[in-house]
Amino acid sequence: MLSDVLHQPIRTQVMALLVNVEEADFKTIKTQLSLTDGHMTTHMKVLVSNNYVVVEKLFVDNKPKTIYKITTEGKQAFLDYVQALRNLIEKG
Amino acid sequence: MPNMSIENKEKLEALEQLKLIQKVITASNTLTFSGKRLITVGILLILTPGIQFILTKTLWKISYFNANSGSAGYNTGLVINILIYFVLFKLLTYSYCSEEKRNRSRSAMNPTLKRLFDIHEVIIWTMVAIIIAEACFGQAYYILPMVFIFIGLLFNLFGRLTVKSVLVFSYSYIIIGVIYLCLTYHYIQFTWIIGLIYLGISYIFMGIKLNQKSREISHAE
Repeated sequence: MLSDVLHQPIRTQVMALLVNVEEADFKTIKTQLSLTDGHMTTHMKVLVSNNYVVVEKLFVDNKPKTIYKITTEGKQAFLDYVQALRNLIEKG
Repeated sequence: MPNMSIENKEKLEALEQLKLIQKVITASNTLTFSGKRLITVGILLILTPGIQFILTKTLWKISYFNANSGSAGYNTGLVINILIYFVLFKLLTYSYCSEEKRNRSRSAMNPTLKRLFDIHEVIIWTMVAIIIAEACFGQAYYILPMVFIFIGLLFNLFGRLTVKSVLVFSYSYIIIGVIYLCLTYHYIQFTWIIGLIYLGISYIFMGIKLNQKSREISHAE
């Protein structure tokens, strides 16, 4: 059974990026994945509420910066999701 | 029949998702490299034989540069020659690519790549130190093979996390380095020119490939 949280193209991309880089700021994720502010906010909320990602808000040069970090739980869920995708392809 | 088509649709979807994941990971690693910087270094490498010609015609004509091979004056000349290139490469790539470097976010980088970038500087400085030492001890003919092997190893590590062409060129550098090492005692004039021009062309090619990949990523979606 595929995870409903991760089986959504935008959230899959965000999680793939975060699994690779471990942490990234709002702007970097948005730019690298060509997302809109709205998409970002909506999907990040889902990932945060499932404890796959944690948010850290800080100020750099007096400007607010939002950093998203993948959690151990999130990493494991993503790896399980990838394995589930592979199993689905190999099935039958 | 309808069950079959649902299963196929699921498989297709799963495949698409896996492709998407692979694409995102490769893209994020590729973006940490500067294609522009590689192109700049490539052009400089191609121009190196010309720059060396000018250096030989000017600096090496000065008395102490013109000393016998292996003498202190000759060794000093070699070290100065190497330092001129090092400063030239550093200055040009720094001024030309500094804006890009500023914009590059080190926070959103694969931890392995981050570590590689950290050791990259150490490797470059080690290489420069060895080149100078070899020049001072009259072993200048080992410089080119060593540079090729070092660069080959470095690009091999980067290539594994980015585009395939980087990996392919890394193997060619190692092979060329070994060939040069075998040819050390059969001195053939101008082989260094061929080597540097190949290095330059391959840098430009890799730079273009990385730029293309970056453009594809930014135009995707």
